[in-house]
Amino acid sequence: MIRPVRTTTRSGQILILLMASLLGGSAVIGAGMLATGSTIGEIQDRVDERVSDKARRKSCDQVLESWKKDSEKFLEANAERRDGLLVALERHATEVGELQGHFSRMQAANQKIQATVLDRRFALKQLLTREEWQKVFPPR
Amino acid sequence: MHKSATLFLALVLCACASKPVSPERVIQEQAAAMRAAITRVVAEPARRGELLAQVDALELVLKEQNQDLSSLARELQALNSDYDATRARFEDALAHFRARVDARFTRIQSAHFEMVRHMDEKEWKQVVDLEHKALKAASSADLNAITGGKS
Repeated sequence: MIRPVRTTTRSGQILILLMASLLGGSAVIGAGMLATGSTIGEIQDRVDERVSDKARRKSCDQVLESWKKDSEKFLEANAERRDGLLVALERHATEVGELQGHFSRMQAANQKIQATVLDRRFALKQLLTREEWQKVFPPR
Repeated sequence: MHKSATLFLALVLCACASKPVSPERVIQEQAAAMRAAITRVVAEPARRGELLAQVDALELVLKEQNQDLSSLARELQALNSDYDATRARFEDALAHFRARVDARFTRIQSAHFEMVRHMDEKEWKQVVDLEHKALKAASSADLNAITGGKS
């Protein structure tokens, strides 16, 4: 399971909730498991259970480990980017350009991790047969 | 309030440290806290009315985002389950979502700076502090309620 995002103790405004929603949602769509509702660890378990070929299973584990590391690295960095944005939101003197800059940087990072996750997803798909895939990612 | 940033999974999971709280309820409580803070800090009816209208606008954006994230989660889940789904289909879904987020950010930014314009620095700080206090007391103050806290 991906390590939980670092949190801060401050509570705040609806604006902050909005930003967390706008950017957090995007972030996890990038870093998470494409809405499978499963953690990487759970998927690893299913792969281990469904893929009998040892070499392919090992390759799958490598892809999933990379996926997990990419996601963790992203979420750590994203927590810092988010904190910067939240500080700006709570400051009365913050100007439009500064807020826009924070948002743009976060959106760019989200886009990048989404591309990385797709790389991993399709690398995994290359290693699994159709039947295995359907068992690892059953329709919900 | 800004705990983890994992909203979309929460639309399905909606997990809070103590008990499940719906994202809709979190949104309502956040908006109510902000309205209460503004009402307490800003006495002038006209200015207060302007500020409360911006809270309405923000609440609407948040509800839209919430629904959109649910839709995207369903779309991605269906694509992921489809062995034959092409990368282009994922990219299209994500690109369209990003475009909608960009548009919502423009609306949020507009509302935010309208609120800043209608409050001086001291009032702004008071409103923020009052919100913090109200949210700490609320059952769903934890943003994990809306973000899920897992990914």
